[in-house]
Amino acid sequence: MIRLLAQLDDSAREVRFTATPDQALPAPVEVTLDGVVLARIPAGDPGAQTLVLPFEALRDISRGELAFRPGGAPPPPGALRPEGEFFEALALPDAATFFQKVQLNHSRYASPLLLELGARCAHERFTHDPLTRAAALAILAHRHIERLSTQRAPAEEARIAWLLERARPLMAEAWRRLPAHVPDPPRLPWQEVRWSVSLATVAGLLHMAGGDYAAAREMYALPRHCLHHAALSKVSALNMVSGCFLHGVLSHMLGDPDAARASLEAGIEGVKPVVQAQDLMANIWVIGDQVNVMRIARQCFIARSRLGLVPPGAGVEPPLGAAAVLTLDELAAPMPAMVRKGLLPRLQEHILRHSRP
Amino acid sequence: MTEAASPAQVAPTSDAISGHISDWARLAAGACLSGELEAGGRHITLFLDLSIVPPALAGRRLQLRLGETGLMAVPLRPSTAQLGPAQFGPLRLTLADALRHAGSPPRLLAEGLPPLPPGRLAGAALQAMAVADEASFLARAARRDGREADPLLAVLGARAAYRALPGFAARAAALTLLAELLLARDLARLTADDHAEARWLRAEGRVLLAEGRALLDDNTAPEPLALRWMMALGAACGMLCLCQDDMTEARACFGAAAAQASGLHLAPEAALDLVHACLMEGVLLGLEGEAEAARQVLERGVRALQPSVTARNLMTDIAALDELIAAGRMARQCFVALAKFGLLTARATPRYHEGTPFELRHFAPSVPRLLAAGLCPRLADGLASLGIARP
Repeated sequence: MIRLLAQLDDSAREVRFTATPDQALPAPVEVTLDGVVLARIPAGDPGAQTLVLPFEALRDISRGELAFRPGGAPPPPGALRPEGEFFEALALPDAATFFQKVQLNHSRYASPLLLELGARCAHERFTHDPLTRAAALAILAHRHIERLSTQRAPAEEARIAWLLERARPLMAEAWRRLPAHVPDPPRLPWQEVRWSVSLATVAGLLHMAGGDYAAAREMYALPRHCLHHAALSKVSALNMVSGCFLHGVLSHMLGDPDAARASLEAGIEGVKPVVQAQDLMANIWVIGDQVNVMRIARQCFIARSRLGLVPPGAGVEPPLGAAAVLTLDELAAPMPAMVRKGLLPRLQEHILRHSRP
Repeated sequence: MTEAASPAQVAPTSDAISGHISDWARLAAGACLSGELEAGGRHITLFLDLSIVPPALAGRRLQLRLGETGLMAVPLRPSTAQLGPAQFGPLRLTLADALRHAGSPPRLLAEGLPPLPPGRLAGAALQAMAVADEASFLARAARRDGREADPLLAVLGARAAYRALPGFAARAAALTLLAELLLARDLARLTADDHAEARWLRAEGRVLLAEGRALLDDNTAPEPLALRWMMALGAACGMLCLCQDDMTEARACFGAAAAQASGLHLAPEAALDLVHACLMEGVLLGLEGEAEAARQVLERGVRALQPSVTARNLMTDIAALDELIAAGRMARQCFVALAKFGLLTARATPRYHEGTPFELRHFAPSVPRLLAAGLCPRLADGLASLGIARP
């Protein structure tokens, strides 16, 4: 039996793997994880063997399959004892544990690598659970967005492409499952709205960072569509109204002013169901969230006017003053940081061109 | 000239009187009284222009009156092509007199003839003093950017409306504007006159708030404009009381406004005033140790955001969203106050982070200004005990 201990060092961004056989092995053995070698144990040496791997070498782990080489077969039962949070994150047993360890602020892993690996492996493991898969991709997308720069390594580009490719069928599924605004719609689990909106929001950001603004616009149509489900998923309110703003601005940028106006007006009016749905006495963060929602609605109002989408005589008065500046800085994180990094040049230029009278 | 031929000694016939009245109406219709505030703002300069003086009125003395005060008396000379329109003035009216008579329309008088207003009032000062009808005054008062830019003209206009308009809402709006204009001054340099004005406003406000309570309490169909200006007046008078270090009356004024919360859906434009009143009444109650009353009113302030948003038209004026954002930030301060006073009951999930500070910048702007001016030291001490440093 081989004991394999993984120890994370987040500041050095590396993982130390220590393999200790309970007795000397007759032949050399390598322990691999999705093909990445974690330990090399020579024949005849019962001592501990250590291998230190940078985070980067482990980022593409997605199946979490441990194997022995030579042979490549999974270790027979009892032959390998993986230890540490690293291995736990690769094989979270159920959706509830996944949300506890990877999503919830107060109980999730501290290490960004574990959040990333936990999400990626959960997406691959929970194949019949589209909501958990959407949540996993949304969480993963946040990690990619944190690392985004104008100079992206090909490996990172490939990971983002992997994520967006998997997001597409989940979004199509969400559109099928989320009813339109009709009387007596079928009841939905709140997670349906929560994770579809989250995934659409971050996938939209990744599409924009990749220069595909049309794909981003498609993504933001979903949060806009979900405004009438605000009562089901109150925490999604900010994403819903932000989705209206981005769908509106992108529609204008891509030459569809009618859709632009409709989305921006949905964002302004959307404040009402969103605020109405909340229990304002629940906690202090709820009120702060509503203020942020209203700030985005204000940007929708400014955008509608600055982009020339108010027909003459529509009764909008008085004209906007100089303080009403169209900006992306009012949007929630990570949008302002992405703008500062120069990741959304075309959108930024479009906004700047219309920011003031 | 025989005695009989002397016009002064001939009793006028009824035809002659009606002829004079007709001439008199023509004179008044062609009269223009203009008034501008002088630089320094202590006087108003008036001119009276008569475009036509019918010959039949020649020799009569024309008087110009404001209220019961005669401003001038001049003999009339018939207009001729050579002389052109007659102009009288300049007359200097002190601002104090103008304020005293704001709301009394200027009138032209001549012996034996009915008083008539000049056909036209011109100049910013006179136009400010001219009382609009109630609906247009209320519409202007409701739009902050529609108010007079010059504070002295704004005072003149609000005084005129307060004296002349009969409805509760219009008088409450006028008094609110006057209080807000006073609160907009440099609070560190309030003069004895400013404090006298504040005392007058508070006294008038006390009466008007009582009138408002009688009108609105237990009223199942309250008038929205009365509600709106009741809340605004209570909030503004409360601030005046704090400027004069009267925390007890301030609490009563804020309380008069906060008590109208259930009608907010009818008057959502008052959201900012209402949440401000709830926050200030709650803080004052909390500082006095009246925990349960403080909890109730602070929770009312938090919950006020919902009717404020849902009842408001958000599509036509960005000011609505600006006000609601400010109201939301203020409602958050109500929540912080609940936490600081230990009035939040525990729930299964966290409700508050211990380190969350009170943010004075999200109170009504006059609160940090009056604290900085040292006008209400007991409130400053009380807020300091809750972690708010003196500005």
